[in-house]
Amino acid sequence: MFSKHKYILGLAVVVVALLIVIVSSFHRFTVLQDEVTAETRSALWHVSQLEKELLRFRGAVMAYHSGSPNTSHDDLKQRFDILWSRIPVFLEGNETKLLRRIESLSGTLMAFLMDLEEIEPILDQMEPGDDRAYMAIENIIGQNASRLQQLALDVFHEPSWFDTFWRDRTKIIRIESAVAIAFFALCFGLFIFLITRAIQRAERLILATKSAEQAQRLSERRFRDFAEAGSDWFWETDRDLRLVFVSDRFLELHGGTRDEVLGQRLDEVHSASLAVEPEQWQVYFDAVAESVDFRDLVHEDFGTQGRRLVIRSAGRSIFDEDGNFLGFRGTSSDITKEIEAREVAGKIRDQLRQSQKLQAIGQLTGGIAHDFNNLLAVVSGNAEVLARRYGREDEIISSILNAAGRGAELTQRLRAFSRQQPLDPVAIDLAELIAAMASVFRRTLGERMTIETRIEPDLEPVFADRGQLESALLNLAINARDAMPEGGQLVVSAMSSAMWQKKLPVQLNGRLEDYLILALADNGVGMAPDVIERAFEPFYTTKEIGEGTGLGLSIVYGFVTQSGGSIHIESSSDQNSNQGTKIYLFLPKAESEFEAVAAPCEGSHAPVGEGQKILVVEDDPDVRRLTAQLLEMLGYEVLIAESGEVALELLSNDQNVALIISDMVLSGGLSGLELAKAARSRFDGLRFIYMSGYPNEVLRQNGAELSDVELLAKPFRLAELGDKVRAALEA
Amino acid sequence: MTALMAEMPWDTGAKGESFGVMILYQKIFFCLAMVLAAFAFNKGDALAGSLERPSGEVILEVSGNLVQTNAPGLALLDREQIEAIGLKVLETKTPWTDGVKRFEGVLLCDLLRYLGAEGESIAATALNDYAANIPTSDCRDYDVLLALKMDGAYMTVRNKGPIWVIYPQDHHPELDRPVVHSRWVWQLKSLKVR
Repeated sequence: MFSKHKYILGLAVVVVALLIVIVSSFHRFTVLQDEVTAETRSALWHVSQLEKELLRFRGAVMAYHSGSPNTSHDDLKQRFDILWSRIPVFLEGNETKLLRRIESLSGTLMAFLMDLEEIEPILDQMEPGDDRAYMAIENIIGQNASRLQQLALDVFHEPSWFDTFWRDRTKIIRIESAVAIAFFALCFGLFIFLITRAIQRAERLILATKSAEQAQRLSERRFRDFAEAGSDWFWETDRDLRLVFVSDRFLELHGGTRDEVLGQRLDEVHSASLAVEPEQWQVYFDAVAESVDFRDLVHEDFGTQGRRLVIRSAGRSIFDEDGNFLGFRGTSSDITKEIEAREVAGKIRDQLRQSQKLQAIGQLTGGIAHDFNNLLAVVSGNAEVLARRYGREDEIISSILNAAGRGAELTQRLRAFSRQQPLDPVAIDLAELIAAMASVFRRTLGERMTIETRIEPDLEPVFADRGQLESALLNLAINARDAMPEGGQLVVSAMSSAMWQKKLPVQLNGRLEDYLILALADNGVGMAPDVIERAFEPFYTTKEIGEGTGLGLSIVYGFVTQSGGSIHIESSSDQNSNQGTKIYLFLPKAESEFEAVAAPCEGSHAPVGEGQKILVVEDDPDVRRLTAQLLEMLGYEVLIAESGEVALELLSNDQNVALIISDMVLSGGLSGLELAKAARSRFDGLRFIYMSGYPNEVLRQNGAELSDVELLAKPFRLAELGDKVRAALEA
Repeated sequence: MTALMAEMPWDTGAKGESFGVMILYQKIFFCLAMVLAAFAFNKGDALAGSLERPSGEVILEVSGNLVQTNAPGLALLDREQIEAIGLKVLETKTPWTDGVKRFEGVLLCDLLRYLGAEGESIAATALNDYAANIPTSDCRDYDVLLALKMDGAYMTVRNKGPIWVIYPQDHHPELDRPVVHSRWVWQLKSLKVR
C-alpha cells in the first residue's frame, strides 16, 4: 500500500538525525576550539613555568651572592634542581608531545641542559660574594632567558605544530562528517528511490484503475449496445410491479419519456391493450399472483403515431437472498411484423385460392366457349351462305344470324372472363379517357349520381385495349349506380403508384412503379366479405334474376388480368361506416417507345379477292368447309387440307398457292407452326394466317415466331376474314 | 582499599588477676588516666608529640584538620615515617612520561587516616609553589598514591620527587582529563586538609 506517512516519518527521522549530527559537530568543533586554546595555553604555560623557575633561580643566585640569610646553599641547590626538573617535562609525555614538534624546541632545551650542567660545578663551589661564579651563572642565565623568550614566541607563532595538532584533532570529526554525509546521501538516495518507486506504483495503480474503469465502461457500453441494438427491449419492475427500468427501444416504440413511463405498472403502460384484451393479460396476472415467471404474454398496444404494436413479453421473477420477491425482470419483443406478415400471408393464400378458382372456371368456360364457337361459326357461316343465296331480308335467315350473333357475343364475354378475348392494347391517356367517359357516365347513370373525377396531372399512358377498358369502366359505374339506389357520389380517380401508401393488396407481375391506378369509389351499400370473395365469379350476382347476367365484374376481372394488370375491391357492408365500395384497377404503363395504335375500324363490307389461290388447313371438317366456302364467296380460289402433311403435298404439286390459312393446332404430326416453317423453307414469299380459338395463349407461347404473321380469332365473321386475308396478301 | 584494625593497648593483661587487686589497679589506673587526660586537654600543644618526630629530612608537611601531629598543628613527616604507613604499588602511564611506570608509595587515604585527618578537600602545594586542590572524595573513590619511587628508584627533585601524586589513570580512563591532570602534583611539599 502506498503510505504517505511512512515517507514523511522517514524523512523526518533523517532530517532530525542530520540536525543532531550538525549540532553535535558544531558542539564538538566548539569544544575542540576550546581544547586548542587550552593546548596553546598549556604549551605556553610550560614554557612560562620554565622561564619562571629560571627567574627564581636567578633571584636565588642573586640573593645567595649578596649573602642574604634567607637563602642557604641548599635552597639554591633546590632551586637549581627545580629548574632542572622543568626540562624533562618537555622531552617526554603526551602533554608536551605537540610542543616537541616545534623545531627550535629541542635545540633550545639541549643547549639549556648543557648550560645547566656547566653551571652545576660552579654552583656547588659558589660562596656568597663570589663575583666570578655569579657573573658566569648570571651570563648563562641571561642567554637562556632570551632563548626561552624566543621559544615562547615560536610557540605562539609557529603554525606547523598547531596545524598538525588541528589536523589530528579534526581528523576524527572529518571522518565522522564524511561518514555522516555518506549516510545521509545513502538515506537521501534511499528516500528518493522509495519515493520514485511509490510514485511509479501509484502511477501503475492509477493506470490499472483507469484501464479497469475503461474496460468496465467498454463492457457496459458493449452490453448496452447489445441491448439497444436488438429489436427487443428490457424492463424491470419493483415488488409493486412498477417499472423501474426500461431500455431505449421501448421508448422508441411506445413513445413518451422515461420519466413518464417509470413508476407505472406494466399493465397500466399497456392499458389500451388491457381494455381490449383482458383475457390475454390473465397470464400476467396469474404470474404476478404466484410470483412466478411468465412467458408469451402477447398483447397489442398503440405505439408512436398511433401505430399498432403487437408485443410478446416474458418476465422472470426476481428474489433477494432471503427469498423475498423483488419484482420482475424481462424482455418484450415487437412481433407486429410477424403477425402482420402472417395476416398478409393468409390474405395472399386467399387471393391465390380465389385466382386459382377463377382460373379453373375460366378454363372451363373457355373450353365450352371454344367448342360452342365452332358450332356458332358453322351456324352463322351457313346462315351467311344462305343469306347470299336468298337475301338478308329473309326472316328466318336473319333470325338465325341474330341468334348466332348473340351466341357469339355470349361466348365473347365468356372468353373475356377466361382471358381469351382478342385484345388490341394501345397506349391510353387515362385523363383523356376519363374525360371522355365522364359524359357517357352522366348520360348512362342518371341525375341522381354526382360524378367527380380526380386525375393526377402528367400521368403516363397505360397499355390496354381501349374499347375493353371503356366497357369495363362503364360496367363498374353501373355497378356503383346499382349500389346507390337513392343516388350518391361516384369518384373516378387516376393516380400514379406513388400515391399508393397502403400495403399492396394484390399480386402484380412487375413492380408497382410500372403501374397506374384507376379507381372508382362510391358511397353505396357496400359488399359483405363473402360477396367480395365471390364477386368475380361468372354468373354470380346479388341482383334479382333478370336484372344482371353475373358476368359484368367477371369480364372486368378477365380483361384487367389479361392486360397484365390486377383488380382489387375494398368494401364494407357495415351501414355505419358508410364506406361504400372502392375498386382499384392496376394497369400497366405503356412502354415509352410503344406507338399508340389507332382503334381498328370495323369494316362492314368484306373485301373482295382477285382469284388468288389460298390453302386452308383445318382438321375440323365443318370449320374447314365453312372457311373454304367463305373464301370462295370472297372471290378466292381455295384448296383444302386436313393435316400439315397433306398441305405440304398439295404445295409441292401446286406452285401458285399465295396464302395458307392454318389452324394452330392440327391433328396429325405437324402443328401449324411446323407447317409454316417447312413450307417457308421451300416456297419463298408464301403468306400465312393462323386461326385459333385461343389467340392470346398462342401469342404468349410463340410471340417471337409469330411477330410477322396474322392471327385470326375463331369464330370470325366474313368481314374479319376478308380484312385479314387482304391485309396478308397485300403485305 | 586497606582496612587497618587499631589495637587498644589497655585491653590486654586484665585476665587472671584477683578481684581485689584488680580493683586497686583499676583505681590507680583510673586516677592516673584522669590526671593525664586533664593534662592533655589543658596543654594540647605541648602534647602534640603523639606523632613521632621525624628522624630524617622532612619531606612532607601536613596541616589543617588532623589529629596526629608532631608540631603545632602540623605533621612533619620524613620518608621513613611515610613508608611506615604502608607501601603500595601502582602501575600506570602518565601524561608527562613515556610508557607504563611502576610507582611505589603510600595511599593518600592511608596517610589521612594515619594522621586522623578529615576534610572536604586537600590543598597540595609543590616546591615551586604550584598548588592544586584534591577533593577528599578522590581518595575514597580511587587509590590515589603519594609515590616515592618510580621504576624502583626514589624520585629526586630533578625527577619530580620526592613525592608525586599519582592517579590510577590506566585503571580508570575517566580520570584522563585536564582537571584531574592538574591534581598530579609533583615535587609535593605540603598538604593542607580542609
